[in-house]
Amino acid sequence: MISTETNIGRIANHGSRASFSLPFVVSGANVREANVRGEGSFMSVASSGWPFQQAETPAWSTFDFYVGSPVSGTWIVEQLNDLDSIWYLTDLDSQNYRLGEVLTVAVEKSGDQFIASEPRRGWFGYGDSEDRAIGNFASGLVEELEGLSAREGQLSQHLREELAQLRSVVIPRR
Amino acid sequence: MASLESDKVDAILERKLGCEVDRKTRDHNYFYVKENEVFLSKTKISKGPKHTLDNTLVMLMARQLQLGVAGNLVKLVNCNLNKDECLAIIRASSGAKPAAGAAQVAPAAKPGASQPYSKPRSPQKK
Repeated sequence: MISTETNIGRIANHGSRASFSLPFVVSGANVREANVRGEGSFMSVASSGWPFQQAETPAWSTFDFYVGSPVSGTWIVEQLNDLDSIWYLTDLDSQNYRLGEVLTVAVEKSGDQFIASEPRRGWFGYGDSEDRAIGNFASGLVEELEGLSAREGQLSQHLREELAQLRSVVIPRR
Repeated sequence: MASLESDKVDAILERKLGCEVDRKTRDHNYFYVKENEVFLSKTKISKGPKHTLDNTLVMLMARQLQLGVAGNLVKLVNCNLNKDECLAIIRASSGAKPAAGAAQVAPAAKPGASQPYSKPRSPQKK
């Protein structure tokens, strides 16, 4: 348990990826900011309904996380996957739905599978090739939209928010 | 590194966690965590032959399920975390109210269930 605003970590590794996971939020996590020193880019993302921060450190930089009170969590540092590639998804390959915006999807190899993910909203799909991973990512958006819509009256707040996010991106064709 | 077999995760989510399973869709099987007629969270497994879910996938699925970290999904599959403990974590993460009569487990008070790594205890004085 961390009390008051506390610096919970600093990363200064060359080309590493760090994510701070907050599985339990006692009275609301307040991830205030991350300061980046040095050159390079910083990406901060939060998943829908589940607070976590993910960042990638450029070479020779550091960043700090500050988290409000009270909160507990896990600080994870992992090596950057060299096989990452970025796809820009413009179409869902669906007769009934289209994309309302271009999605930036990262594809990485993990074990035997390729994983396509849009980390900001926690969406992902996977398969035994990059194409299949992207295809499953796209079809998953439609399937999840339809699955959640069918259960709309019985969704938790978290799933209602996820459904709203899906509806803002997966648009019915007219 | 956590890795799990897809068929085992499928069976555990349906039988142990009691998920409502939707196998009618084309590309994935969907697992909805349901309590008191409310769906708290969900995840999916690609259809097709049995495959290995590597660490990254396990992490993504654990986040979808609102189980927090990959270690909690591994513990569920390896029977080191029971249904009630999982639901307590999912409730806390998704902001859902506990079901009537459900044990109100404070997840933060159970570090073994909430975090993949537990600090060794210092020896206790007698």
